[in-house]
Amino acid sequence: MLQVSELKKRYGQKEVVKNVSFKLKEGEAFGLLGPNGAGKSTTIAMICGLVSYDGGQISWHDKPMTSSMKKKVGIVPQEIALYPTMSAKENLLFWGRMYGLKRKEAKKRADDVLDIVGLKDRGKETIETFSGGMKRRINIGAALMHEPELLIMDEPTVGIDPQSRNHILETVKQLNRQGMTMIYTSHYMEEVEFLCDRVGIMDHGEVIASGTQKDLCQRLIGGTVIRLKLEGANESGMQAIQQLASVNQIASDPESNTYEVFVKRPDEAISDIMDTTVEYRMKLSEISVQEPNLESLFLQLTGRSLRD
Amino acid sequence: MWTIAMKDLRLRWKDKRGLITMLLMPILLTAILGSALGGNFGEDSSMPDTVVGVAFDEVDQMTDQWVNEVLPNDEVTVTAFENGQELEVALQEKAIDVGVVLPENWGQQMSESEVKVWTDPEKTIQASIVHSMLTSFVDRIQSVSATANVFAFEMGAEGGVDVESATEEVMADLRAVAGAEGTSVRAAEEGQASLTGMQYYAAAMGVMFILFNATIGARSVLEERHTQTLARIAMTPIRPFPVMVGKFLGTLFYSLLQFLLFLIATYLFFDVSWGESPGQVLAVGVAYGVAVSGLAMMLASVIKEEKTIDAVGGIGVQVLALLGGSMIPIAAFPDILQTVSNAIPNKWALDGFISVMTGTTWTELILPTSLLLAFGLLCLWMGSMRLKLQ
Repeated sequence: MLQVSELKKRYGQKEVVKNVSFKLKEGEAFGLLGPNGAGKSTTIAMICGLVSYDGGQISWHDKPMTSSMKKKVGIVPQEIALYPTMSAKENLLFWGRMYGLKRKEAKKRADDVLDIVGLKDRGKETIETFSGGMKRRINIGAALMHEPELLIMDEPTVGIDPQSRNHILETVKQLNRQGMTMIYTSHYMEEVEFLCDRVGIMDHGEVIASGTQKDLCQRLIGGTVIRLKLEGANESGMQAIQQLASVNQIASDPESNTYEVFVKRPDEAISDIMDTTVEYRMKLSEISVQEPNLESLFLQLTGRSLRD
Repeated sequence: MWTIAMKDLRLRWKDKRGLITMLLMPILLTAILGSALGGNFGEDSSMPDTVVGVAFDEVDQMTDQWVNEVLPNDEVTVTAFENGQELEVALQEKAIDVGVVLPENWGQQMSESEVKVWTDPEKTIQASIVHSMLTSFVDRIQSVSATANVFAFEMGAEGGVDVESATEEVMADLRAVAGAEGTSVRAAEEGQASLTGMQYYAAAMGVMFILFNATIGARSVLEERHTQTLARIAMTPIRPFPVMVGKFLGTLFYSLLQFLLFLIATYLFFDVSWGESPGQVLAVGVAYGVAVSGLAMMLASVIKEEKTIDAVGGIGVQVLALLGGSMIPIAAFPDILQTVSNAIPNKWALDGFISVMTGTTWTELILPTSLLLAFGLLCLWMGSMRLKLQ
């Protein structure tokens, strides 16, 4: 359905998107996961036609993307791009009309959309009176007015309460179940894990890993992460841990004295690590085992946390 | 395009505070300025109602003509006094506004006589107008006298003519000319209706407050850019130019709505006549609306911050309003400023409205309306070239 190939964008000397490629099949939910500044929003802006690209290609059903194809795409921007002094319904009507809906058609669809986002009884109230979560829901609703084939959401849950966030995620999941194709960008791993079939992990403008969640987790060099909190950690001690046969890699956060150790066989590794800490006089104050997930994959690939 | 324009119109209509400012303020200012300065634009003469006291001791032909024929009119009432002392008392008691003391034999020795004009310090304008009327009369009588002398001399030189009776006839004719109306200063030119102060300031305030739409329109673009709604619109199938035209039309429609309401309000509350031709009023109004809306797009393309547009708008509109004649008539400006004002759209709009109010032809309106339209469309084009949606 959508194919992004070798997409490039440069602002001055800085290359913010470097050869980004991915494909999207109909009905699929694709997640773009990465920390702030990874290039997700720029990639989305290029797909939406808001930002021109310096290289690469975007194809829609094997044809170059044109502005007329924008009718088939619904976009939920990161910001709440609504008119605060207009009511929820007036906003929906406006955005529906912008996508070419006739007045009557837009009115009917606005009622449906208010129902989808769970704000049927609040349609006449102005946006400025809504909570952050309700605004976000109308922000998504505005992108659903013209019943797009592809829904692109750029961090649609930023800055809202957990209850609204769950409501949004459930709504989006439901839309995907009904057959809507979607791209979902976020730096919340759990949202992408919940919603998306396939994931592209972005960092510094590049897709550093891409595939299904299962594929990606299997790629972890050593599927499990052991999190250590060490006091008095020293270089020789950490080198000794790194050289243990059961350990593959260590990522450290010296400020919090926390170390993420990627291991193949957790039981064996825990025992080895504890022996080493005693031998090198390092005080182990905390140890925990994490199942492999996208967060640990990102950590392994970049040495940083997604929310850094 | 229409959807964007109508959305903007609705948003501005919902802004009650802005609406009140844009509608009530010009009405209020028109009332204040029109009433306070209206006398300068008297419908039939140049002065407000005035009682002129004249003291003289001898009634000759010239004195009688000036006191009883030339001086009195719809605004000027003349009261005769026997001497200067009585007149002075009346002035102190405010029974009269201006006092004129004609010396002995004034009628025979106008050029040599010194006439005293006294006034209440608060009514110097009336005094200076009465003084002008007196000077004008004296000048004309002297011209008549000189003409009569020349005529008599020429007739005498020809011979065979009754010089005395011929000169008397000519003198009678010239005296009639000298005493004819024309001493009052009229605002209107020949063939046109005169302009009242209320009319002038209704047009002036209307023009000034419509000009505020340039900053309001530009601010609307900057706000939409800031809140990302403009970027979101750019992600729809609509192309950038129609988006800009939609924003332009939103400002234009609001300007026209504001103008229409202002026009009705000034007509109903202050009895302001906007001229005989509603079509001409509309033509100037639309042309000016286009100019202001185009200016809004231009400003939005060169200014990045909403705070800047507020500052620039506040000061800029007042400067333009001043130079365009909305505060003081342009005729009162030095020549250089009058020349500068030709580059200002609100000046052409004000000229256009005043022309329509005093009666004009469509041909005469071609220049101001064409200039306004050209200015607006040029600004729209330049603004659209520069303006970025995000």
